[in-house]
Amino acid sequence: MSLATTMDRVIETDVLIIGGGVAGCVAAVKASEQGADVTLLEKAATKRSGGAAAGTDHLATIPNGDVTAHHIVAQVCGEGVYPPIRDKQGLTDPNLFYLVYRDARERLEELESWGVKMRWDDGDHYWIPSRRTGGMTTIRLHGLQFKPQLAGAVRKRSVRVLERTMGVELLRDGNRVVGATALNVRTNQFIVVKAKATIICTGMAQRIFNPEDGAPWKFKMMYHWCPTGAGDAHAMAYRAGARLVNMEFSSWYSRLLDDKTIMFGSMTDGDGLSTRIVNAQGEVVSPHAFMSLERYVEEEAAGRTPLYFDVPSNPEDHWLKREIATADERTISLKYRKERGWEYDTHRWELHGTKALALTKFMAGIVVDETCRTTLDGLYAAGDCVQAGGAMTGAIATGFVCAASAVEFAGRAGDPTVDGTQVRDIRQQVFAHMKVENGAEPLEFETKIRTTCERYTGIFRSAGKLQEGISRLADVRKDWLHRIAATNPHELMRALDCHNLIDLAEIHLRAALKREDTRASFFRADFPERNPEWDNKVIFVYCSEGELVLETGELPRLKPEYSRVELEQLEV
Amino acid sequence: MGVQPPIKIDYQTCTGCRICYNLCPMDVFGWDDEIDMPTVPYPGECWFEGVCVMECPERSIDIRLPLSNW
Repeated sequence: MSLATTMDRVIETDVLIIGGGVAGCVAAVKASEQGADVTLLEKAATKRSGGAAAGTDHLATIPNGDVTAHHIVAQVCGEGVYPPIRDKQGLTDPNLFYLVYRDARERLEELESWGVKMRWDDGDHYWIPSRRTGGMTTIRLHGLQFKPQLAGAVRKRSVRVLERTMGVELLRDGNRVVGATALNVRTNQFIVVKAKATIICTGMAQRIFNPEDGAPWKFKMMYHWCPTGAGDAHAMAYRAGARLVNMEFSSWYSRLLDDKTIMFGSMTDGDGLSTRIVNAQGEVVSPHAFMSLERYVEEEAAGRTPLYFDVPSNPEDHWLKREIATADERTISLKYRKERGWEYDTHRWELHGTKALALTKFMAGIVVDETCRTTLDGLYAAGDCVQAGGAMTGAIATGFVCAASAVEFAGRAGDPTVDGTQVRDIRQQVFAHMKVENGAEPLEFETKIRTTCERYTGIFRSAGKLQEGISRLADVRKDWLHRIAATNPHELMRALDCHNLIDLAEIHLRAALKREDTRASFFRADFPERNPEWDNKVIFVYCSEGELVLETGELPRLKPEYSRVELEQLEV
Repeated sequence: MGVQPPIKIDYQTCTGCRICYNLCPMDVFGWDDEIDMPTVPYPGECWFEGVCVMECPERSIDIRLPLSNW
């Protein structure tokens, strides 16, 4: 039987893009401009999806003035871009980072030519200082319409956009990825996309942990980054045999306790001013808005918490700048603030932390080379799910890079051959969830994954706890994964999310057990010191014939052609 | 009356334009074909990012901050 007669819909395309956030939309525009037939799958709606769904108030880390791409790479790949994640020597591939930042300015100008507005009323970019780079390297945007404008640019090209459609599994022919199966989460239409090249870009992997407010059950998706994805790209790539790296690293950040929806960036860096942090006794804990986890623990143990942003130390006009920044990103926060009676200039904004929120941005992710190619032929990745693709700047850059690479591959690769048996098996597994009797609700399963990760690998880990967590995950996989019940397309989407989440949780715990070390954002209570045996070592994870494989190895160093004297001095 | 989840639709002013249903990143809205109006079958999955409030042309949707953030 042919696929066309057994599947709801079969699409043949040059370039398939899974994920319609910033990276996916940029990739769709660029691939289409280069003449490729492009199919874009978006789990929600491209106009308001992904990290920029509710607007964006800044684009960070753009080379400007004295701060070159070389400086930024030295910082990002060496010291670390966020103070809580320091000492990243050897944990990232600096070459892709270099390419991301080198061409950042030109790419922004190209986005502007598509109708994505980045300039203020006077026609110029509004540059604000960045404490991270020490220069004027952040552009403040009135970016409330950023995503609708970018999605509009996709609509103007002849891209086949499938809204409310999630990628389910990548399809393989030997070592080559030849497309994917997909599900419409409103209609249950099961779709096969045969593609010469495939790009995956579904954002952060964060839902293996509880959200920032810790709500385990009711109102359970209050994550900092867009929680529509369940690490779909990471999990699909892993199951297809692609390599992931640094999956043991989770991140802790200092966050506003009062209102997680008032974006961290808006509160503190919105206009380049980084509010200092004080403890309950009013002593300065950090001269800026970031601090290390160790420092937080020190304050907590000494009984000096809560910590607060020292709002009165800000200049008088800062509250107004913060209010404008909030109007540019998540305007709903203005309403929340008003309802609670919080004033920007007087409220004691409490910070909290000490729990993991996500796998570490800029570090954990799908392994790609400088062309955004994964370790499988025909498969490319972009955005937050790859090392240098983090945040808007990285998403835009890797969107450009992977589009060029995928179009080039599609031009020379032969027509894809899809294995009909593989497709029918996937379909059967997917729809089995619609037939479960006496099953569990998908979010009950998801809650189990989250509480397991919170307890056994939150921040301070040990071999015993990790082994117990791995054992519990194995039990829940064996006893309950096939008993997740879905009664409609929305619930089927959440059931498929669970398949991704349990794979990512298992990867995270098993990689964490292997790394007997403490460094960057990774802490082992039973190996509390930096272990020199792990210097410059990373853990690669992949799936081989259904088995999880962990391998230690090294990431590439900066290539000589990208290097300059100043970099060599910084020993990147 | 009774329990009110954080997302509330004002059916007096809602015109049934489908924008909330079409744009919600978390797919918390459903559609009632009989009254041709949106419903909220999955309020527990709300991200509280406010796309529905921002995009509603009639300002018929309200989100209150959930108690976990009070």
